[in-house]
Amino acid sequence: MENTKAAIVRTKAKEQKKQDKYYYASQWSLMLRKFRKHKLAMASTILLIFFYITAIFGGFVAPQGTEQYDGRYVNCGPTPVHWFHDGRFIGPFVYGLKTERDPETFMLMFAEDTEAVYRIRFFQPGSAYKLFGLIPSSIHLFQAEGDGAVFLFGTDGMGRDLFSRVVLGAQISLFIPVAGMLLTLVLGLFMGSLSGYFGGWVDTVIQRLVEVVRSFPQVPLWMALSAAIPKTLKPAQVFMLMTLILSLISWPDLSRVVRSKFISVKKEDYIMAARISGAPVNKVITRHMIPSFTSYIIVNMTMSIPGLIIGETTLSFLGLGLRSPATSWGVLLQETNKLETIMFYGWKLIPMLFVFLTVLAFNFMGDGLRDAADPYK
Amino acid sequence: MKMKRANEILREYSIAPENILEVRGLKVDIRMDDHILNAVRGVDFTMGKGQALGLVGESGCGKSVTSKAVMGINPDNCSASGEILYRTKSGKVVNLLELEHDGAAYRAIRGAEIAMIFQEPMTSFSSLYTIGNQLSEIILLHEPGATKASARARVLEMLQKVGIANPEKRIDQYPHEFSGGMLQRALIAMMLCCDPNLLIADEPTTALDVTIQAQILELMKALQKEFGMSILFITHDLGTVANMCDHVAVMYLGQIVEYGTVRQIFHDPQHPYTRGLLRSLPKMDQDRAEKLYVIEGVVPLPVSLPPSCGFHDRCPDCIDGVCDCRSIETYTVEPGHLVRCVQMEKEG
Amino acid sequence: MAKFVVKKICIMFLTVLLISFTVFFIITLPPGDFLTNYIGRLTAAGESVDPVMIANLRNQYGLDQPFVVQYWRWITNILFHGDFGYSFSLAMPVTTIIRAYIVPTMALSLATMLFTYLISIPIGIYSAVHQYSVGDYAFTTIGFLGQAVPSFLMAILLMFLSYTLTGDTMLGLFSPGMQNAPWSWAKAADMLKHCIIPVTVIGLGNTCGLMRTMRSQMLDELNKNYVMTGKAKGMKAAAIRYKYCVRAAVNPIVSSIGWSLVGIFTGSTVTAIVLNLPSMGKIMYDALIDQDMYLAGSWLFLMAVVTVIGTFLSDVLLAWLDPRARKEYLKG
Repeated sequence: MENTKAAIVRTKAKEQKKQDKYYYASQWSLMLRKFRKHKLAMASTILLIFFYITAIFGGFVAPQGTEQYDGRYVNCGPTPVHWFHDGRFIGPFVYGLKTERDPETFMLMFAEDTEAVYRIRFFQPGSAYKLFGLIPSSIHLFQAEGDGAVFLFGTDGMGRDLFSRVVLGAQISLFIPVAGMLLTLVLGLFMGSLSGYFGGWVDTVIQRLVEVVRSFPQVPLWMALSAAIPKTLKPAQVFMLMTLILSLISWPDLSRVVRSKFISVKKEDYIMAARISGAPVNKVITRHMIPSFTSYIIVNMTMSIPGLIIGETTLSFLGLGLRSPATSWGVLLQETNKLETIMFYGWKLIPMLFVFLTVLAFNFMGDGLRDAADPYK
Repeated sequence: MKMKRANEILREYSIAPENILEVRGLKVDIRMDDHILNAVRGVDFTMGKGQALGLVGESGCGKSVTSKAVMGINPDNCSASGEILYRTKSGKVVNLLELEHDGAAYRAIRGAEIAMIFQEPMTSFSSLYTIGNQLSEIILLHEPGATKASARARVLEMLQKVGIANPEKRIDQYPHEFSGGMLQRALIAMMLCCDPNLLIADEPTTALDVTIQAQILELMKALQKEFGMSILFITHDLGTVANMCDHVAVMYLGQIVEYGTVRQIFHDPQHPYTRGLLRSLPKMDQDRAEKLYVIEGVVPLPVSLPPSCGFHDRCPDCIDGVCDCRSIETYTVEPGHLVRCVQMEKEG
Repeated sequence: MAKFVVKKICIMFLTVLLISFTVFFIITLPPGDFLTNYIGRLTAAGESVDPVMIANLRNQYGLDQPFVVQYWRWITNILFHGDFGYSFSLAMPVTTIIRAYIVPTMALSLATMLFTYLISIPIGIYSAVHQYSVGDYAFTTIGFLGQAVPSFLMAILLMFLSYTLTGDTMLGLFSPGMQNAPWSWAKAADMLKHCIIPVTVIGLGNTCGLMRTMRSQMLDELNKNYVMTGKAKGMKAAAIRYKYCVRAAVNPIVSSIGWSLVGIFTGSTVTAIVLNLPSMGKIMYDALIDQDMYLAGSWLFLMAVVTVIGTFLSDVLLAWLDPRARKEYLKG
């Protein structure tokens, strides 16, 4: 009897603690907890982290650099990676490739030469690159030994390894949207809080501006601005300009959100209370107003990234963004513009899979964040 | 949610002739994402014709869920068991829990025989239609012979009755042109259009200003006299109950812990919770230095509760080893005065 | 109401002027102009250029004038003469080109809009009413996928699909033989057939977006207190849904008609380029590449103006549908 009672008391104390923890948890840890429950959003987040890390270490992961090509392997399909040769396990390797002409269409075809075995070597020196654009290195994650060629995703019309180009293209396609988003955030927050805080004619002017920018169809406006990018610029400069263009067009949405939040929060009782108790204006804004919609803005920003990714891809696809040999997923997809490409060289659609997965993952992550940020769910 | 085949013969029920509603062993469970809330855990009460019963308790005690179970408007993630026996205008007794929520039989009772007014009048109307449109709808629904013109005439009459000035103009206005108090009057007018037997008032004055509250309560009292309906009054405000009701049921954690007449409850409270509630009311003659009494702790969540008195961990008179280890029965301390507390066992 | 409309129109006019200025600024951004490019190309090809002709053209279009003067000429010509300028690359007035392309472009946009609303609203309602059902999950999945595919890829994929299924890529708005045939039922049917892919491609992203908006709006409305009142009145759940919830949920969507035009124009530009449609998208693209400034600028300007008008119309529509919005507008 005594024992069971003690046990009851103990479990009760534990439960109480659990409840207290729940009640006193901060907004962010509550959000994190709810976010973790959203399985799809968690999976998307992990996938995105994987993509971004791969892109950051792109030079290391990709066997080829952006400038490299091999005229012998034009439009070569993905090379299968084998493990057994003659029934014997010898680790991952590829066979050599020999070209044949299709007797009917006279097209060049690649076939495996099962005599030549090229093992795949890991962490061996190859072509030189700069890690993070700073540290010179030549170690690659994997490459075929000797004369062998491993093309996980096949090659393009110039004999460039598509896998390498997808990985290196990710550096542009994944980071332009994020940079654009950050710039949008700065612009949107600035304009939105300006018009929300001051109101009056400042508000009127900014709202007219918002309306003007929002009246333009995004892609044609992007096109017009991108067409203005001189063709002689270096990829890094084009990158900066594209970021600027993307954010110049997407700030109005955020500024509207910020403005309306500012206006509605200004009327809240707790802001009034903070003011009455003599908190200085900047403290009211930074301690009470902005935190009240930070989560909202984070969600909004996450949700805006897919649009920016699609924007960058579309522009590059149309030839208005980066140009070869610099690469991005949109640049890679330029070749798929022709129907024949899809019919004969289906692997060239692989970059699309990555665009698709990334956009989807950002959407799911944004959805999960939104649910997690909603205190009423 | 509760599907009944049309050809199934409903069981015969009977209730005491002076009653119009008897609730027996009502339990309502709410399915949440990862647990089940036992919102109502066995509630029994009866309502006499023309009488007003106050259902009192803190937020989350299950009083709203109980009233919505009578109305059959709980959301789909709620499941109810027990019996809610209601005597229709035609004199037949039906168990409301056996009726399909969205079925014709229940819909014929809702609005026409049992009506309900809500806590927030501002959101209880759609902002897209005029007051007149939304009020006459209930008449057109329940009276087969009604025309738009006759319904409008009745609505005008009802608006007048609930004290809305200038009803000819008001009837064509939209809800956002009304104040909160006016909307609550309009809602009352709507719900009384079909002369119901029973009016459920779910905290009808909580969202209103204090002066307006008194007006609305006076109005409800006057209308009860005029229409002769019973009122189930749900509130956390004991003052309102003393003013409005004949009987009081005090709810705590999904159970009725004390039931009696207003006199019994206010002058001779037996349950420690009721006593606590009454002590926490401010009194006119109270010394200003004296602090208001507070019941310590918070209402626990009704999730997989062990058999025990729900109030034991906040109760000043809790007997360790008894109150927290077994379920507590209800004791009759005097005719019509029921208390769910072990202390009564000792006395009685 | 009349006062509100007049005020709105005044604001609209101001917005349009601002837009025209922005457009002109953007199209004069690239270094050089069409003529310098033109000369460059001709000399590169080894041809000689008549400097007098070039000078005449320059003078005629004020290309040697400062930016503000150029803008002033352009906008006054549009406003007072309906003259949008001259297309250098196509060697004809921009007005003529626009007249030739505006009908197919608008027809395609309207068809897409109709498609978008007819599909997204019912599906949104269904999904909200049957939340977490198999159908809801299916539509939500489609919605997510549809938003994740860039329209140019969708166009390519559908083209490929159409080719493998029917052996016809469905490029353009007419089959090759039908292009110049007189109007007949067969030609109309041919055009409809060719519209399927573009309308799907252009409308898809927007449809998926609207579907999800409609679903969440509807879910919000279904949880409002007035639904409870309706039930307490004895209304049928379905009746409450259609009389109150759907009408309330549709309002924000109605008010975004103007913005969804933006999406449609965006989609149609890219799609037109990929699918080789006789709408303005392709022309616009070429004009941008060639720095044919008046053509590109006018087109950008027109699209923005149509959007502004669309937004105005949806404001009026919303004021008509929603008494509360009406009151707001009448006040301010």
